[in-house]
Amino acid sequence: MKALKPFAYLAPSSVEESLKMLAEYSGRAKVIAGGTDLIVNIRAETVTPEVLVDIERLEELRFIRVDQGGLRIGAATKIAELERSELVREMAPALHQAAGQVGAVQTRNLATIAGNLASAVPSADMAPPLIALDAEVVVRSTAGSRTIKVESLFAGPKATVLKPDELITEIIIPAASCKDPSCFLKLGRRKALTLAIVNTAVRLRLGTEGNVEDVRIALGAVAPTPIRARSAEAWLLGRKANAENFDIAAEKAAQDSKPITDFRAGAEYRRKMVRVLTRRALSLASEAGERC
Amino acid sequence: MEASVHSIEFVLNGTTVKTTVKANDTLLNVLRAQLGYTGTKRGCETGECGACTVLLDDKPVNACLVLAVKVNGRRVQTVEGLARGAELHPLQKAFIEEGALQCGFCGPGMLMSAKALLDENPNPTEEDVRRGISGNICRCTGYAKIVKAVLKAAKMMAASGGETA
Repeated sequence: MKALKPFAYLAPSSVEESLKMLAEYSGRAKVIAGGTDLIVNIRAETVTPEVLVDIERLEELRFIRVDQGGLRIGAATKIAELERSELVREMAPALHQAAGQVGAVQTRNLATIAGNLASAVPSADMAPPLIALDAEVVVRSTAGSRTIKVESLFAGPKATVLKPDELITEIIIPAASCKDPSCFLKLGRRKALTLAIVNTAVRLRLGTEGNVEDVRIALGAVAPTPIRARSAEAWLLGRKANAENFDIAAEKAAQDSKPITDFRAGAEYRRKMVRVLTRRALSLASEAGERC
Repeated sequence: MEASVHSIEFVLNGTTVKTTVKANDTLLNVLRAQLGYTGTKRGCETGECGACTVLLDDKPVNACLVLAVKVNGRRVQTVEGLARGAELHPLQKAFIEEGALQCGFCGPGMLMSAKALLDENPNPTEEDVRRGISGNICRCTGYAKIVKAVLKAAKMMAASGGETA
């Protein structure tokens, strides 16, 4: 049994108050929501905050709503809530599929959508779908507010571009993305309670002639950060949506990835699985598109 | 660095509890060491085994990851709260009848996850059950009898008209 190193716990009653606290304790405080990543890190002493600012119960940060055809999700929305949401299921299928595969039941009841992004683990399951959906995060501090595209949020393994006093407040998925079929696939060492060996999300827009009008392919766990497979996207754009082209694009996605060998899997295996998952995800997304 | 100290009040297995906790105390530690509820087990302490599963406002969570201070004003249910006096919960009866325990260490967590599943979905398929306990690891049994026991408990609860605990 290992006790957590001591810290002070603060429970602000509003976002405003939490921003003030983060500014006051800049660098010495960490935001806590579900704690499924943070508490593990505190116990392992990879982080040693002096102060925790708890935003988990702030109602201002817990919502899923439609806004001008797009989807807005509060930062502290539980991943279990995403899983249960009809709106998310219909408007952001890849996100919905990912939400059902984070950790297990218990994890999803605590973990939050923004917490998964802020922990910036390269295999974060929320990242590839949000990148494929062209999502942005709204980030606030006492100095003001800014929006960052999710694909630009990550600086390296377990690192974001956020400053110590900044707080993600919501995630915005644009209306254009909400009409397209999307798909998320995760390969793990087992069916639950596993980080991804590779995870993939794709969004596909098909034209009336059956060609690819727009495509996003996002990969996790195969680079220092979640990435877009840009050369795969560029190649596939404009071509016919068929199995042969999906396979070529999937091979290019594998080449776009930069996996490492670790205790979960070898680099070569990960690269091969990028191709398999990307091909399958493109195929599933295009089938879903035809059904609409 | 001193931990901040907090008075908390929460409902534990239907009864209001008042206690004082340090900021860095987890719910798991407070339940076991401070309040004497040792039914909930300490497994991995990283949220990866489910041995510490309790229900927080009816939802299964890993008590090793929840700071005790966070349960102020909320409801916690542990395995000790399943039985009504001497009357075991149908899940407990089914686990016994089906031989779903060997060493028993995963048991409390399994029971709590199963209870949450059946409270939300009184008529689960086998797939539903497997998914419902996917956050609880068992080293001994291979899960088959656990799944059978949960399905049996569902039938028992439906036969007795639904609401038990």
